[in-house]
Amino acid sequence: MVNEDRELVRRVIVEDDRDAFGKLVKKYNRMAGAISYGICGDFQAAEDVVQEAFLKAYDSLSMLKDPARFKYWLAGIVRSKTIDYIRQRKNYWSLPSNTASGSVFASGGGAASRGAVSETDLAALSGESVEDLFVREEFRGKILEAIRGLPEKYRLVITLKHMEGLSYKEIAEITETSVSALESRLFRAREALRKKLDHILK
Amino acid sequence: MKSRTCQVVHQNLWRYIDRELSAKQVSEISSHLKACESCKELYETQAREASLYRLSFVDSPFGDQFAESFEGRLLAELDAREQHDAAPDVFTFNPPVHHRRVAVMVSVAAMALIVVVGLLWRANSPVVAPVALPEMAQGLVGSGDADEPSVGRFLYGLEAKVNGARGSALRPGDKYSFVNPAEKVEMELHDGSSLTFEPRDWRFEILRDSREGGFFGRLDVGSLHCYVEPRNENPFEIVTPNGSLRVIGTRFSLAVERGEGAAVWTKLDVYSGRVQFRENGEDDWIVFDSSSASLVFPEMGKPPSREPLSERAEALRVDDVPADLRNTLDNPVSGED
Repeated sequence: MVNEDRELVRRVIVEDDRDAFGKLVKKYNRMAGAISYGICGDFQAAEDVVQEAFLKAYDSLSMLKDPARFKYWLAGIVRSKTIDYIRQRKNYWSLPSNTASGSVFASGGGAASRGAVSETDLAALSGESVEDLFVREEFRGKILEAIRGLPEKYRLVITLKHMEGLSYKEIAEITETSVSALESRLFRAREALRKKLDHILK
Repeated sequence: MKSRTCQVVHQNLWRYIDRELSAKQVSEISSHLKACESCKELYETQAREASLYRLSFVDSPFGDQFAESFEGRLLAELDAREQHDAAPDVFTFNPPVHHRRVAVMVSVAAMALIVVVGLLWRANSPVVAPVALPEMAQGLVGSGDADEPSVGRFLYGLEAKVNGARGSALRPGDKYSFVNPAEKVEMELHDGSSLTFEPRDWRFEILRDSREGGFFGRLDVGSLHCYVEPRNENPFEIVTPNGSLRVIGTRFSLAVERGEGAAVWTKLDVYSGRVQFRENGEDDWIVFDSSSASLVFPEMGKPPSREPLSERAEALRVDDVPADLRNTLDNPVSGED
């Protein structure tokens, strides 16, 4: 797989092959999205950041020392672009983060619902399979909202694990930590998330 | 009392779910789970959590779709670089490779300019400007302050810039939330329909895009003027906390007011064409047209009074609305201030 990346990178640099770059985008955009979302907690922003990151990667591909490590090199670009975005947003975008896009609307009943899960939700949940549950957008929204509400270091590992399904080793490498440290962070992140979603998860 | 095997299984359960174990370890744990009820229960709880978390991301904007749209962006960017000369930066217009869309985009850009000019004249206070539209919709957001007027626009597949900050194009499912906006916000849909939000707090969600056979949106709070392109044969439906509106080819205003606690009302004014409304809990759609007076749902306990919507519609600055919408105003107001 890694050799495949090396070949794709070579084709982009040497043959100016845009399709090869397209393959890299296809292969790694979810990972890049997971990193960016994990850091900033905003899909919309993450989408922009990832686009920018790929453009930057395209431009500076020839500076990549070890093409077989394209994945982690890209991860670094995405991370720094996301941090840039957050700084920039502080200057220009003053939407309170709670109401920024991506948050879950208060449902029909009004202000009651941010974060907390109401009795109606619980009633609606009983006796349905997991798949049925997910037909309910609001419910899914609440889980996303809980993930979004985690501290960044937890959100990032949860997102890399569950949005992209990366291995411990890959996540550890992206977050620049050891596998054992990653494991315990992931464990604590799941504990924190379980606490937030206690009502639903039982 | 738990056995030693149970302890080992507990310690490795997440690794088991996360597929981090060797085949030998997996088969050991699997056979233990078949035999041990309490370990099995724990496993099921954790596995369910994992699948809930995974499923919660299914609508993320990433995946093959992202890769495809990025390809257009990349090509456009590279073309633009080749042609790059002296064009001013703020409004660099990079047509994407999708030729059929270009014509639409150019016309939207023209409309955008009209509105942008209007907004620039009015710009006088710092504004929150989340730049956001669903994937297939096109439109713009204006913002600025007196010293440094800024404008934003967003077109599908292109980035938007507000005061140099990047905005973005959204997808169906995304939500807009404006707090204390100083300007009206226009959304232009690809079929020519438009939504204009009055400058007061509003929250709106695009549930489905009009290319998927109908436009569905949800107004949670705020005041909204709609122009629905008469040629639009697909359902155009807006849900409020009180019910649903469904229209074909018409122009109307809609306001959702919130009172104390959970009190919420929907107000509807129809200017042309017909609007169907179905209140929550009712089976029937009721049809309203321009002869109907301002309607408020639910009828009991009207919302705190504001100036009537119809007056506000008249007060819409003609300069601010796209030409298409302007032509449909029954009694266009000329000039301003």
